[in-house]
Amino acid sequence: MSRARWTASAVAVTALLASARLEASPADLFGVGARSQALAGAGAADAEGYEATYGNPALLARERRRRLNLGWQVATFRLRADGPAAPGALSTEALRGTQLGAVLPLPFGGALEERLTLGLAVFTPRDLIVRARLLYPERLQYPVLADRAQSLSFALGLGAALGGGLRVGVGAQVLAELVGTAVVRTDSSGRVGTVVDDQLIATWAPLAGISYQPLRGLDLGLTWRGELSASFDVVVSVFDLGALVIPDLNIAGVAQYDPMQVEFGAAYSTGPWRWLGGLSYKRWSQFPGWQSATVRCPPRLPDCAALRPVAVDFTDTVVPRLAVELSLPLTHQSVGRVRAGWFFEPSPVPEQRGLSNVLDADRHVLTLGYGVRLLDPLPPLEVETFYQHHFLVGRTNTKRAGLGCPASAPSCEPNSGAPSVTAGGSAQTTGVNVGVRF
Amino acid sequence: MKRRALVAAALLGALGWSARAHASPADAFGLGSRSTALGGAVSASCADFSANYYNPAGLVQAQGMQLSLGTMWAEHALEMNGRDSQVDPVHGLVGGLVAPGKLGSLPFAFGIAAHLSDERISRARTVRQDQPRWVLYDNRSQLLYLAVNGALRPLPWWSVGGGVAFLASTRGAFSVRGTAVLPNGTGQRSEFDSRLEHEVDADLTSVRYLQLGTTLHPSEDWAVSLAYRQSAKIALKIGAELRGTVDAQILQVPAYYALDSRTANAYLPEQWVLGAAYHPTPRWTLGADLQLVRWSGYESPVSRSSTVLEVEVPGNLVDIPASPKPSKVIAPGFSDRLVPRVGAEVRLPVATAVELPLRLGYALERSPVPAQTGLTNFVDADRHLLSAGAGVAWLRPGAWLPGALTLDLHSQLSLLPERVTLKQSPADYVGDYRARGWILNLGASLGVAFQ
Repeated sequence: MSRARWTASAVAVTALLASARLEASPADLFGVGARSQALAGAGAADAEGYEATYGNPALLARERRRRLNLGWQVATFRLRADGPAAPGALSTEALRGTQLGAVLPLPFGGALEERLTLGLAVFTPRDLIVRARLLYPERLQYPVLADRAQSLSFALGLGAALGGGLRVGVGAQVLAELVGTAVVRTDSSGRVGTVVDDQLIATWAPLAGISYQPLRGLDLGLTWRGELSASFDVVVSVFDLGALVIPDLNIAGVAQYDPMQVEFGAAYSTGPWRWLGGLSYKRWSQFPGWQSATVRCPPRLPDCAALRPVAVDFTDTVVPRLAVELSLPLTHQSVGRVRAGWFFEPSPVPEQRGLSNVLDADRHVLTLGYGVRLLDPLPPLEVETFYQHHFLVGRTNTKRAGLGCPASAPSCEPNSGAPSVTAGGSAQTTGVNVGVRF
Repeated sequence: MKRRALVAAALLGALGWSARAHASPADAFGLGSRSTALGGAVSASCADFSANYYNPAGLVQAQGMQLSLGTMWAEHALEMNGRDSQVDPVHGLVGGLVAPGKLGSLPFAFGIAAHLSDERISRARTVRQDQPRWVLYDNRSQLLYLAVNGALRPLPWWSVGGGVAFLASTRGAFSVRGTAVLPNGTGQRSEFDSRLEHEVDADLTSVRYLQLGTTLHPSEDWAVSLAYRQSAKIALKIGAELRGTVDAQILQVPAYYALDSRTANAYLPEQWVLGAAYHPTPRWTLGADLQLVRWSGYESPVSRSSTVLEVEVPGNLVDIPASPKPSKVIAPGFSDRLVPRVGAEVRLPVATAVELPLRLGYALERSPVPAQTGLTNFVDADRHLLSAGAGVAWLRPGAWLPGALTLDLHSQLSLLPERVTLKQSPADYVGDYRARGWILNLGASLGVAFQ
């Protein structure tokens, strides 16, 4: 291919990707807010404050005072790929981010008095809105765990108290996806000319929840979160290259994906103790895969030899959660709350027996937290901290015999996952959150 | 008092640290129907969600929580040499909230405002350096505006506010590998048989730009304000790599190409706004703003690129043309401008619990773009903004709403008188041109104000 042609393609693709916006979700990995993360994400029945926006928007209706929260969070990953040809420790960038939350009861009167509350929950990595990391499939990678954390998470919710201990809520998680085109032509002077048009399109997923208090001290909650997927699809068209005809190059894929999930939770109080439990169902089987075909067969050539992306075959998962919270009066004007929890996150990723090395493993997660709330006449402040430790259960992927190179890379290095690679390691996250009631 | 000031500074600093997101149609058309109808001369008088843009200190003047949701539609009729320049319309949702309260005895308010396009969150288009483009309207207003602010009133006559608005930029790399098949003309091989695949490792990074404001109330009738908006831009840094083979059936040509590209786009200039508001009677509000817009910092949106090319050609069987020369970016040379704005509002009582606000406004935006006599073609002209608006406020509509329901409408007509561009070279690719046009902006906002 001539220099001009390569240049044309490179310039076009670069220009498009230069404005790409691609997203992912730490909310699904760790939870939202300091209290929920300390309680193993068991928020469907007992999320407080802005955390209810994600945990269960129906619970927003319990809030009677305006609250504003600001928090910081860091997560580190110690992920490994062990095997005869594997490197061992994989370098994974830490996550550092900021949390902003708000709860705004709507001061209607009459029949609507103390019924409706708005909630907002935003988490953003420190200098990042989202990371799109779609690697060649034979590379050793943890796309479900490490890369998914590097993303903005934005949720809005409205909770309504219907009376009789029944509350309902709706909301949305918002992301963005990119579509665009680039047309490359050679002008009369022989220079490459590129016209780029890319657009950032809003994509969102609904949230809904219901909460019911059948007995004093007992709360039940059910939360449904729709599938949240942010893709990018940039088509590069190259013209005026003489006899050379370049097919449209589709730089496309899925940058973020949270599966549809249903979460049931229960919370029960006995004296200063608050016990929480929950089950989350995540429909990972609908995940279409990250990669799309770079060259797509036109309708007139449905059986063309263009490469198809490696298929993924994720499975649905069920996540059990248990947690406890102990309230400790510190003084007459302050209350401390100690929290602990556990949840088990099964991996949706099947064993990697072929060319792909999409690594993942089941996770046992232990959570801890502590919070202090100041009461009148002290300033209306609260401070919460939390810690999560994710233990990856070692998982060995045994490769099929005679594994070759990807079709697009006829002279590749030996697959670093062959003959077997074991995924394992750990992840940790901690943070602090300061809230004010005003 | 010092303690209050320290608390104020700490909270504003915390808010400044916290935020994220994108850029500004508010610069081009205003934000909210009331403020737009007043010509944007509201920095000393705004107390609704639009204060998130005009002056965050105004948030703490709100009497109660406010929610607003509206829409706007702007149609461009911009032309060159009598031909429509096909600048896209802008239409979208505009809204926000103001939540005032108290931190102890200190009045405090929190606000959010957004402008979200109906069709997209944002749009970015690159064109060649010499291609004529209405540089301030083509895609600059096709962006999301999202701002988060806080405000405090440490003293009864002094309020201060600040926060952040958001932009996003991109850094990263991609690569394409595989074999590109050349069609043989018989239909047995087509370009769609190319066995190519791609890899992407890119970040969308957040750019936060600061907004600050303060308002003084020397008397009940007067208010003066100073607002600041930091400069921001979308900086794109990308590396690209293409590695593969061209399959010409009789010949396989390995090729490698690497590119490094940097581009600045959607530049938002630094702005300082000095404002005043006067209430000759409780029903009248007169406002005047003087805005300094630092367009001199404008960076050309043309990309700066460098390339590396390695091609292994056996003999001279394949003709490899020379690589295109890197683009030479010409400094745009924009100049700062002062924008005067004036507005007037009267609230007419038309029934016991109904008010009818009427508004007028005017602003003059001189073009910051120098004469385009050379290769570049940044098209622009002076802009006269004439605005008018009306509304209705239904006070205490019932027990369910201890406050008011408001509906505000606005219209804004921008007139861009003809500007003639004469090229130095008679052989210029574009040639001389005349540019002029108008922009019509209509919109409405529905609000709920609690007390």
